[in-house]
Amino acid sequence: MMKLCPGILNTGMFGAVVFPYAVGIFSLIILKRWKRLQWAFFFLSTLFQLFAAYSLFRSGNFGSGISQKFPFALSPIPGLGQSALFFQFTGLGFIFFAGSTIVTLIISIFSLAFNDRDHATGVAPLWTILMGANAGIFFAGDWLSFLISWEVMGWTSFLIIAHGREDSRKAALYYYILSLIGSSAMLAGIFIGVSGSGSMAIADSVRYFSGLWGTRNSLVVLSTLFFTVAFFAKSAVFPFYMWPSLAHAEAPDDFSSFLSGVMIKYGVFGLIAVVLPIYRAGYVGPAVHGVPLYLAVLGWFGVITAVLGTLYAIKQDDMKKLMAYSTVSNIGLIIAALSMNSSLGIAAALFHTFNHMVFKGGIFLSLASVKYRTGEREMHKLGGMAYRMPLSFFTFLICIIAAAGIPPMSGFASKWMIYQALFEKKMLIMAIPAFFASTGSFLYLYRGLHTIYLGQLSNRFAKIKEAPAPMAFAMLIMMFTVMLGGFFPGLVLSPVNSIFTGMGFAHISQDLFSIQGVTTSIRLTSIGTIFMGSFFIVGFLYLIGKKREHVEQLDTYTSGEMPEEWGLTEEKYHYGMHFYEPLEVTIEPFLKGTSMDSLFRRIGYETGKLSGTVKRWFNTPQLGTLVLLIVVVLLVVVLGR
Amino acid sequence: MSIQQLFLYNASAILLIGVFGILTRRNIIKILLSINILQTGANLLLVALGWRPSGIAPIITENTGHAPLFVDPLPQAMVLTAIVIAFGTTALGLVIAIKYYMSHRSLETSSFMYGKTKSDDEEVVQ
Amino acid sequence: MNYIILFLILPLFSAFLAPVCSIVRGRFGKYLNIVVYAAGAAGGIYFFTVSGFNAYSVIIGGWKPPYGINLYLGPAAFGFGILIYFIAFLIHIYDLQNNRPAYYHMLFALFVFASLGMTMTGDLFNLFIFIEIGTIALLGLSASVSPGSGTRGALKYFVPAALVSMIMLAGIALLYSSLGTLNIAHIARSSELNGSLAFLLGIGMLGIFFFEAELFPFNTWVPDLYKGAPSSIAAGVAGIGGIAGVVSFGRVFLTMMAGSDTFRFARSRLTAVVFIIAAASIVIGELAALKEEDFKKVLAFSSVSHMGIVVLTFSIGGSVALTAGLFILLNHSVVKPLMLMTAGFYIKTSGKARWREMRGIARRYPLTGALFVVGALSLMGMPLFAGFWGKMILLKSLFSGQGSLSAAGQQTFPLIGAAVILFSVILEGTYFMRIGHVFFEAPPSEDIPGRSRRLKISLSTAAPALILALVVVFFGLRPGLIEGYLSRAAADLINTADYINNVLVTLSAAGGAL
Repeated sequence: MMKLCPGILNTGMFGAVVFPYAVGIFSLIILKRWKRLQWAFFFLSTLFQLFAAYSLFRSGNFGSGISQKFPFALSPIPGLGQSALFFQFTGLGFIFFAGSTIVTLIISIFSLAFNDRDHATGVAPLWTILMGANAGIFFAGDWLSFLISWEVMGWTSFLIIAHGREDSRKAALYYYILSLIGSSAMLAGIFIGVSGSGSMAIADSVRYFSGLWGTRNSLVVLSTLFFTVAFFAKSAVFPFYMWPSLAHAEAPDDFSSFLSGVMIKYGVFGLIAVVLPIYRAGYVGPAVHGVPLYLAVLGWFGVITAVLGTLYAIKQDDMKKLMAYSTVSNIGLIIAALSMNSSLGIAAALFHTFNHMVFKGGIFLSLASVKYRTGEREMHKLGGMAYRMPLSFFTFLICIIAAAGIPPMSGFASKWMIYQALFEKKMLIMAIPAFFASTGSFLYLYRGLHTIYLGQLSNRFAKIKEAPAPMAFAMLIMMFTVMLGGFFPGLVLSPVNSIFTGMGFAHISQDLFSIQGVTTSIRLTSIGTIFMGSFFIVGFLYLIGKKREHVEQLDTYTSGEMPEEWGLTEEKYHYGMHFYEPLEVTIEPFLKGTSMDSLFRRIGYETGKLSGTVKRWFNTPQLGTLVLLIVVVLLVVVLGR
Repeated sequence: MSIQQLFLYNASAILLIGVFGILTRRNIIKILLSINILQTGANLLLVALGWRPSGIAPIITENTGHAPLFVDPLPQAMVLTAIVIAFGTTALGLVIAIKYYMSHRSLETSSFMYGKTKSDDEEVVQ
Repeated sequence: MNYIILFLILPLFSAFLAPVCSIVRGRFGKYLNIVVYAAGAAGGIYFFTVSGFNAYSVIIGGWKPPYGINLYLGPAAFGFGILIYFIAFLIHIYDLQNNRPAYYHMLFALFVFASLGMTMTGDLFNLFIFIEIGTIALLGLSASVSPGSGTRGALKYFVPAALVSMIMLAGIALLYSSLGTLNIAHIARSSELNGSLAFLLGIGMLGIFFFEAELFPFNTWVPDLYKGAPSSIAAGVAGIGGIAGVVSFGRVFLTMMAGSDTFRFARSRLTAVVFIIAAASIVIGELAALKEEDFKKVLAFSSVSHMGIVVLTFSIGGSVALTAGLFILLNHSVVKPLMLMTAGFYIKTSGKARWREMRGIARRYPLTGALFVVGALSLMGMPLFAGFWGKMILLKSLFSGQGSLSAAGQQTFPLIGAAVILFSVILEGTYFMRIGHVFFEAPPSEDIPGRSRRLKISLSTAAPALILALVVVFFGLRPGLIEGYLSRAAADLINTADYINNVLVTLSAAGGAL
């Protein structure tokens, strides 16, 4: 069995990475005319990846860190000192891969129906290729494989987000520029590590950096700063937190769930895999309650992100932008947890990552199906959707319960763990804004639920139907997964726990039903059962209660006057308009003061101006040029002496 | 000052006059003339550097002795080539100037080198 | 007879035969050139493999160097010579759709001949001659079609070119009077020159290469020439001219100046100048391209920047950096003609010159749009394409603590270079992806014609671009195949001792060929 293991691992990882590339290219070139078939191939490719994940799960032992050589060795490149691409089977990488593949598979079922003639986006081949890069990032053993996957992920995601529309392109470009800045920074960090360690393997670079503590602290901090910039840019952490509201919102609706669900986690993976290990072994330097100072600052950035994400989300009227900011907020919490660099912290971060993948995916799928049927994205134009689209409503409801961190859903368990991780390291001051962000999320989540699904159903939408079967089926699976994670946290936490041996951490104590934290332990299955019981009781009461009367939206009065008398229409009477206006007015100065967006736009503007100046130089008469030339030569001659 | 030095200073002066002309003249024909002056100066420099004291012209006739002292013939050969090149490029430059005049109706560099003309901006060349 | 000489002079035959053939039978001139380039490429490959990848020194006229002129066909000249033929071949196939007059083919063949000569020659004055021939041919070509930008570009090229070439001639004169020889190998072996004289001579000689290689501040001609000349000419300048300029620059700067003792006292100052100019070109090229509206001018500024990157590696020195530089040169010489071909096609079908006005054109011609995106991704250094490897090797060498050739900038130059290059990637990605995507966007008025109205792109127009894209992808996936050759080409340029040995001792004794 053990002899077979490398073979299966090899094939598994190889297949997981290369198969989607091949299918994607095939889809792009050969299947150009049959767009529906492209989506079918995308689904099949993701299914294959899930199968690969399953066989990897069965065959490998986590934390083994087995490195496999990529079967297609490149001809040796002496300049790079490497002759093949390496894969590395780490538990961490596998968890991310498995999670992302499961979520994507569900989304791909959704996409099969979503991309019909009216709504087709044609991005299937690129998305398939992107899945190959996705696997490549998580399984990379050497920097080259990592970089290849990272960059391919970059340009394919740009093309998908832009998907042939001008406003989407602008949003995608904002995201891509930040991504490129991150890549450039990462390249600097990578090659410092490569030249220092003398090899291209990721593990060697990490070891090299860890070994420098005490002797060249500034170099290590600088290099990890480069990596941090790259991962922060990709995961939309402060100060790079403004792009999801553009990119996630303008992307194709099904891809938005992938973006918010899967892609935004790449930075988290990078931080856990690359940056955190450096600060673990042999750290010599300032620390706060045992947490290295650098990581504590990282945690603060995370908490700031969480707060800002919440505040911006409260302001939004566009449902996709709202959820995009919610993602930003959640990522902030994840970063705060993992910056504690403890087993509880990383477990909390990973648990919340997986939960977020699922519930945010579900939220976006549900929004996509609403948009599919109604064509609207602004919440004040919707309302009452629950009556016509009950399945979407339930998915949304379950998922935002999870997102708000309310039991019995999975979000409660993971947020609880995050707080426990902060408490463990005595970071109480950090926990306060985290609390605020997390509980404040209820404000905007409930707004979404209420304005879209509850309330009055507009006459325009009186006849819409529920989402088509495949989409409904996908949402059902998502909902089920969310509930599963909530009732049985061990399903996710056990694998997470077992990777800690490989990472050199102590285990957290948990089992299938409960988690042991620092202050107390919670038994989630019990909590879940209690809540479900209460729900059934309430539902029973509702059913045996008195008959309800249906009232038209404008059939109301106040102070003796009817709404039409003062010019209210259905749309204006929607309470979703300016829902939180008092709150918005209060927090507006704070948001303006911390806005990174205006800073970035200013930088972009000034660079553009600089470009114009340089261009004009090319049109100046050659007189100026040659005088310049002569002056340059003279200066150099004079300086040379 | 030896005769070689005189020639060298002379050639350099012509060179610099040519450069000055290129930089300061605005009429294309004058620029081309300055280029020609520059090329002449460079050629003169080349020939002057090949001079050997009490050397004679590097031509073998019945009257040249056994081991005569020639001036260096190589620069002179190079100069011949350079003159031909100068001739060719000048001819080409004049043709381009004509074509330029036919389209822009002016021989002033200001009409093309200071910013873009409107028609040029919209010009589409496949 | 030394058949290897044909590798160089084959285009010369077709240059003089083309007008004659066109009189006799109109269309023949076109095909003659194509056949010649194909033959040249094939012959080069044959000779290169037969020689066992060693160097040839072709002695002209039986006069052994340093008294006579020799051609040195090392791996650098051979490989890039074959590439020149290949690109010329593809450009001509692309050009079959336009009916070019006979003088066009003649001038293009002359341009190819001059470019080949620049990469191969072993004598400085010979180099000067080839540069001048190239200038003449290029000027004629660029002014031939467009009366507006074409003549403007031609004049903007001509006047500075004349100035810099005369400076080179003066430099040659002074060099000859100091050292008594103009053979590159012999110069490299000569006694040391006085510091300031060496520096001045160095600047004088290098000036024309900065001009050819589109570097700041000598590159005012680049945008106008790219825009005003027909796309095939611009492709020729980008691909063929770039190769010739850089390889001959390598020969003069690396073999003759940096590697030898002759210029020893000026070496670090010259390297500093090269570095500064290269780094400035990179930054300026990218900044200028960011807001450029004209399609071909964007490509021109991108060329400026990439040439800057290549020359930057020359100033860093060392075989790893140089291999990376040659990789980037190879990538650029294949990709830029590809992008110019797509540009030419799109300009022709849309009738517009600005890329913003071509919005949605890729919906009608998706293949060309995809080819453009492939080229852009390769220039940006994105993986799955050839440019990625060049960038990787370059960054590795810059960070590996290997110093620069310049003493003063030993530590700082590589880091500044790395910072500049990483900065350029950000800008390049921005504008290229923006342009590439605009082609695929829905046009402002929904006038995407139905399939029946699609203008078919002819095979002769599409095939060359497709072949170039396939080359890019091929080397993107299998870089090792070319990397071995490139490191040998790099060694060829750096290894002055071997060069001197080969030219003056071994090969001349053997009568030319090994």
